[in-house]
This record gives sequence, C-alpha cells and structure tokens, in this order.
Amino acid sequence: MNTRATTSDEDENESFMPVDTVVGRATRVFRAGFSGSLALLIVGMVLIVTRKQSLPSHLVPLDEIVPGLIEGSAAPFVTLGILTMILTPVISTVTICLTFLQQGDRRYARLSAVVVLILILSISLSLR
Amino acid sequence: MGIAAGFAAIFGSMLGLGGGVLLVPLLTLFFGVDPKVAVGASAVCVVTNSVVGSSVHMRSGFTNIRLAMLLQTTTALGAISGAAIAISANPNVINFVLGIVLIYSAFSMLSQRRIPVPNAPPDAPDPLALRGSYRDQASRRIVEYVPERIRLGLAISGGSGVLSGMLGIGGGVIQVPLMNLLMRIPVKAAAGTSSFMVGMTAVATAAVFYSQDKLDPRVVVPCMIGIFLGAQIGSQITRRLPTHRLIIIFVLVLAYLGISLVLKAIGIGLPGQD
Repeated sequence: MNTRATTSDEDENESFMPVDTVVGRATRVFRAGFSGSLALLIVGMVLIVTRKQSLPSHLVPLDEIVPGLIEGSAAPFVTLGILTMILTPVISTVTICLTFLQQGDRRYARLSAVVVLILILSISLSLR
Repeated sequence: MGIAAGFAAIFGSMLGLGGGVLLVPLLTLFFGVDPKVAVGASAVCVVTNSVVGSSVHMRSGFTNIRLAMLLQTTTALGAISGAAIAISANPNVINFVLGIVLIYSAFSMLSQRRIPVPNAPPDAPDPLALRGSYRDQASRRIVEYVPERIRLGLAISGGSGVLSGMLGIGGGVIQVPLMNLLMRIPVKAAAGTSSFMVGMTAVATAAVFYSQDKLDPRVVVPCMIGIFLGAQIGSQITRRLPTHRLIIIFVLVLAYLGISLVLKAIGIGLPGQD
C-alpha cells in the first residue's frame, strides 16, 4: 500500500488558496449561527427569569413561533434559538456550494448541492 | 447537566466525535433522562459542538471541506434511516448498541495511538483534488496528506450515518478511526473534518426528533450552554497538544461508559447510577 501523506517544512501550496476562501466563508456562517442562537437563548432565559416562568418541556411548533415571539413568550425564543443552531450547518453547506460554483469547481459544487438536497429532503420529511 | 455537556464537548470537539457519544450515556446514566429524549438532545448538542468547534478547526486548517462533502453524501443518507429506526426502538436495545459502539471505539483509539503519522511523497496522485494541509502547532511543521481508499471510506461513512441517526451521536467514533486507519489521514485533520461532518449528519437527526416532539428544552438548553464553552476549549486544545497524549484518557472514558451501558441494557446497574 502506498503511503500518500507527507510532512514538510514547505510553505502551503498555492493550490490550497481557493479552499481557504471556502473555509473563510463557512467559518463566518458558523460564527453568525452560534452567535444568533446564543442571543436568542439568552433572551428566552431572561424572559423566563423576569416573568417567573420555567423552561418549557416541549419546543413550540413552527406555526406558533411568530405569534409567540410577538407576545414576548419565552418558549418561542428558546425554540428559535435551538432551530437557528440546527439550521446553521445547512446554511453553511449552501454557502460552500455557492462558493465552489463561483470558483468554477463544478465537481464539488455538484457534491455540495447533493448534500444540501439530502439535508433539505430529510428535514422536510421529518417535519411532515 | 451543562457542566456534563461542557465536559463531553471538550473531548468531543478535541477528537472530532461531536460529543454525543459521551453525552447520551452521561444523561441517561447520571441524570436519569429517558434514552430517546437523551438521543434527541444529543443530536442538537452534536450540531452545536460541530458549529462552535469547526469554526476553530477551520481556521487551524484541520477541516478538509472537499473530503467532508464527498463522504457526507453517504453519511447523510444513512442518518435518515438510522433516525427512523431509533423512534421505534427499545431503549435497552439503544443502550446495548451504544455500549458496543463505545467499546469498539476504545479499541480503535488505542490501536490508533500506536500508528505514526505516515510520510509519503508530496506528488502523490490526487484525482479527486482532496489534498489537504495544515500547520501543526505541536510539531511546528506543515503536514500534507492525500486521502486513500475513497470507495471504502464512502461505504463505511454510510454505516456510521446509520449509527449516528439511531443513537444521536455524530458518527465521529466511526469516522475518525476510518479516516486515520483506512484513508491515511492525519489524526488532527480527521478530527477536524469529522467535527464538521457530524454537525451536518446530526441536523437530519435533530429534525426528526423535533418533529416527534422529543426535544426537551429542559435538557437541551443547559447542554447547549455547556457546549458553547466546552467546544471552544476542546478545539483550542487540539491545536496545541499532540493528540496521542489525550487518547489514553479518552479510551478509559469510552470503555467505562460502554461497559456501563451494556450492563444497564442487560439489567445490571452500577452503584451511584439511576
């Protein structure tokens, strides 16, 4: 069996730079995702403390989130915080797909698109 | 519960395991959480650990996004079928299967510890453009690699997806040894790539549990908060320490939890556990 990994003191090859762009954009999406999720969870926790409520035992259904947010209930904020986190990898994968497409890397743009489609399909099936 | 999740996240993020493989037994064994609720919470926590940990791993160059996208095609399909099985499965069966997976992982990690980072020529064939590189802070060198045995990797990734969906773990317990032992990928790159992949895999699992109303915020929220901190700590440790120093502790933890779960599944509880 050929061993194909190598360790060297050479600087990084220029051919890796396009991937660095993908990594940079994906990292920004991840940071935005967990910052947004954390902010929503904190708002939910603050509402729970100030209104002397307790953490809900169930998440709010999708169609009740917006009315609940308008009412200022804690549970919809907590639910949205959790859902924001769950959806972050999906948004990141879409971003990666678009970046590969922009770079003309059709093979990995197609593969990323397949992953996005599987993710969307699985989420859609599970929410029915 | 948040501290337990943070502990799981440190080890999970450090070794690319997502954290679910530790969190599910911690929740069921020490906090008396129903296994199905624990699996659902774990799926959300695996996503959290992946998102937080990967943002550090990516900057370190440990994440091979092309390889992740390739392997993820079969992993995601496996996760869908695994999650469907978990909803109707007996809790004892879930505990038993998870216990066996943990014991297997312990042996894999132990054997992985003795395998040196492979050396090879830099002009190795790379038809799928999967070459990766990163600067290893521990050895202060640039590490370059080209993954091998792609077809076998795709097949085993599908199997790890099934386990992930069924057990609410990220699948990293299979993916990391697979990438390192069979695909000849350095441990840190395997951990970074796996950490990224487990989040995508767990998304489908988490959605299934949300639709089944099996996500309990009283369990999920404290765990997420613990993971926000633990994942960042774990990712930073990966950058600075040689992984083999951490593997021995990890093997002991996995073996203990695995044996505990198998014993619980057959009706033998250890002292101090619910």
